[in-house]
Amino acid sequence: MKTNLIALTVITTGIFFTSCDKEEVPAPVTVQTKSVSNLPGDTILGLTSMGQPYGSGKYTLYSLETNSIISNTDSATSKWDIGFRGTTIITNSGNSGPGAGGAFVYTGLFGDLVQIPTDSTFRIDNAPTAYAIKSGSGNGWYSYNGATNLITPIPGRILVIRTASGKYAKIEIQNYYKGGVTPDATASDNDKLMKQRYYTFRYTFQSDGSKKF
Amino acid sequence: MKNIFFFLLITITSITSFSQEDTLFSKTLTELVVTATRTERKLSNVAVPVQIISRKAIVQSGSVRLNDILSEQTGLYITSGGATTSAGGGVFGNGIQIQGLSPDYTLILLDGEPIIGRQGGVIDLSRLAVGNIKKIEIVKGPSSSLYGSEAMGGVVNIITEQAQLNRLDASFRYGRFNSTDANLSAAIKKQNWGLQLFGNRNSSNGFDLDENAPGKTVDPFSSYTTQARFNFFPSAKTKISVSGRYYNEKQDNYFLTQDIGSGSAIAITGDGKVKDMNLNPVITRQFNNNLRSSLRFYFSRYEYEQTLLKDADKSPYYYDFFQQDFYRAENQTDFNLPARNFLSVGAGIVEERLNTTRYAGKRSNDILYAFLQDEWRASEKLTFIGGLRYDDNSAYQSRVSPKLAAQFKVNDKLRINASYGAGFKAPDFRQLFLNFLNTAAGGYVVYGANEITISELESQKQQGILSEILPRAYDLALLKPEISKGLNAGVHFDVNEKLNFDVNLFRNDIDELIQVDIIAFRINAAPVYSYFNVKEAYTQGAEINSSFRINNKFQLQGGYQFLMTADKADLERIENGEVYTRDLETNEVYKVQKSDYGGLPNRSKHMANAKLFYENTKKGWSASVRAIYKSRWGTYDKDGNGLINREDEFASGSTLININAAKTINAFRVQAGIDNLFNYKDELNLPGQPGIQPYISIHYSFIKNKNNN
Repeated sequence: MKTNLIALTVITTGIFFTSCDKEEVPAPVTVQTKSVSNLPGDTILGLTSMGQPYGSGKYTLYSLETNSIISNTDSATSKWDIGFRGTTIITNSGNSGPGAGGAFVYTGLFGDLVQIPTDSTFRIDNAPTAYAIKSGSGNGWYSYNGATNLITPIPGRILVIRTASGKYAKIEIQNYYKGGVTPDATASDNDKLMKQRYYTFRYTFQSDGSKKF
Repeated sequence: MKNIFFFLLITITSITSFSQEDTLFSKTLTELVVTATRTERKLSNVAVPVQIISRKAIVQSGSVRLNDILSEQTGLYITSGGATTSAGGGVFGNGIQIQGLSPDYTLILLDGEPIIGRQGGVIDLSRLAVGNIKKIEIVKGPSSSLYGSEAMGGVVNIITEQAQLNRLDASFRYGRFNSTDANLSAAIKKQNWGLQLFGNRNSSNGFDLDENAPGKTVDPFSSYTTQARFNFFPSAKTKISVSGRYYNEKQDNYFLTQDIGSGSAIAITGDGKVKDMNLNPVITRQFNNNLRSSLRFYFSRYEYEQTLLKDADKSPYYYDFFQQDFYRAENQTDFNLPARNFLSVGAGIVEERLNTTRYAGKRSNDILYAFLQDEWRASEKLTFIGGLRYDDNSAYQSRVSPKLAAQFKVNDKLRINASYGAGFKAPDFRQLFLNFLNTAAGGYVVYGANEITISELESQKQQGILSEILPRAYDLALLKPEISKGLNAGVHFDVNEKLNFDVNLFRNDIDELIQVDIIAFRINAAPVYSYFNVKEAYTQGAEINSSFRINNKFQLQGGYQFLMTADKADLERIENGEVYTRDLETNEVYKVQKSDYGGLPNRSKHMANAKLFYENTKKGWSASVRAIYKSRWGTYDKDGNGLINREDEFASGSTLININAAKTINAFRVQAGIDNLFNYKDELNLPGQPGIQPYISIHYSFIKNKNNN
């Protein structure tokens, strides 16, 4: 686990869909599933005098299309698709950005989501209370345990993303802590705070604009 | 280890009567119970599940605090307390679960009056010394028809000694961790009055399960209990009784915390103090053979204060103060009516007051209640009980609690009981009156249900305090009490004078459980919370108890409880295939099956006990070996799906073996024993369990038998 902390690793898998209609030329859809680890999302710099942890307050903007971090100076462009700040994930939509983005949370297995249901509705951001990916424990992608002060991604929650350019992707958040390892319940508060806000996730981006993965 | 118990149970069940030899008449047939019906009844005539723990059992087990003796009883699960660890273990002391219902839903009575002072919903049983307990009665299943709020899972009634003769008792016990327990009690009995006095001091140096971690796992503490009861009989038909109790506990705190960011250690010192007092005057008159009435008054105060300072400069680190007052006046009148009907009617008034640093100012609530119960002995064999209680108040919805019970005595040896009862728990003060703006952690707000209305929220939005009101806010209403409906059905079978069985099946449906939910957002995006009746759960299972008198020196007892529990919404989510988990090793996500679901946390599916008691009255020897088993139990969610399912979310099962022996020489009794013989520890999940605990105690008893003037 700890050997590939820094690198943003890319694992490629090919999935082929074959048309049932034998008359037509099979049009294989190739999508790549990529893994991103240790992506910082406004990591904690210290505590305020009131005991509140604080970071820089800036989102880490990310392009799913290019699999790279986008500079905050480009926040008013359609270069980025999603942004991370603490547990909040924004999409390039609504009042978060100028893009054609949006998102909703799908319950199921990452691999089972091969086609975005036609009746699904993409939400758009209306910060600071109603994000496309709902904020708050149990509402969106994570659950917070008040007894241990730990954040755990809810297994089986898939973020279905419409990118800034109107294409589709699916994301599974796997861990919220540095190195992709959640600290023990008995770890110190300092450990729990200083190691959090590091995202490990995998995602599939469909470049052809279809809703198939 | 589980198998040992099944083996023992099978052994018990397979042993048949050896002979028809005459032994001491079984005590249980004549034993009286007061808690089940609020009138004295023979245990054999009671139609609801009742467990009695005698003074003798307490002494033989070498128990010191209430949780010690309760933890050895079938079906009673003592929740862990002791340390302020963030993991699994409770931090609010040792509470008791009955039929799988949390300590919040179990009523603890001292001589029929409620013990108050719940921290996190839990009455810490270690607050209660056992030195002056005559017996403990445990009624299982919802009993709010007689006792009102909190009697959802059952009622534990601690009945203390009353002066019967002139006597003086003193005892001292010393055990591991420099723990001491000293008792002094005196009784004076005259013709028309009696006085019972009791004092206890209990202390320990605490213990440390993890030498590497700074501070102790359980800090040193000491406590004092004093109790007095004066009985006065102005005439043969009238009894006036006044009892009072005062408890005082102090625990010294020392631990290290870390400065966030730099990670440097900060030493914290301070102490926690608990005070608990009550006063209970009662007047009872037997007007004639068919009419008896009693008037009871009760006042109780519970106080908790914690002061923590930074050791370096003695600057304040944390302060918490909590004070609860409880006043009650109550009348109960019992009638013997024609056609073998026994009617009890009662009414009372309660005032509760709360003063704490946690709320905005003082809060109080009044409750008026009335109850009625009729016991109809339809025939020698058949008895019916019907009861109803109404609780009325202003702060939450009023509640009617019914009870129906029936007993059929098939013959001398076999009786069948069935009962249905309702229980409720009033919303607590926090759920009603909390008005809390957390300035430290992001400025979120929590309102008790009585502290906020939708129009108030709308006006806050107009004033620019709130940015958004959620649809949930329109559900704001007067809170309902949390309720349970319980069914119990059982048989008692006396195989012969030596061997008996009790089997009881139970099902409790719990509804309207109260939870917080977000009702609005403030302009800084911080949430605003309030309380709603939302959750549903159930507990069901079976309890078996058996007792076998091997001969006049040995007695074997065994018990087993099978328990299944579930949060109904969680169960539905699993059935709908909406719950997933992550494999511990591979991190692979997969669907949770119903069979993976561990039910409500802090519950063991299997609990069993086996106890062997030896007593040789002639030679003054006695001894016991007791084994208590509980299977694995859920701690807390770790995989993020909100429920207990994965292997690492369970604490492993455990077996505790306790042994002791005692010798009586004249007025002295010396007892030595070892609790937790095999040194079982689980520092992560059971921080209050210190491991092996040897002890020795000496007891002196002086009885002046003559009842002079």
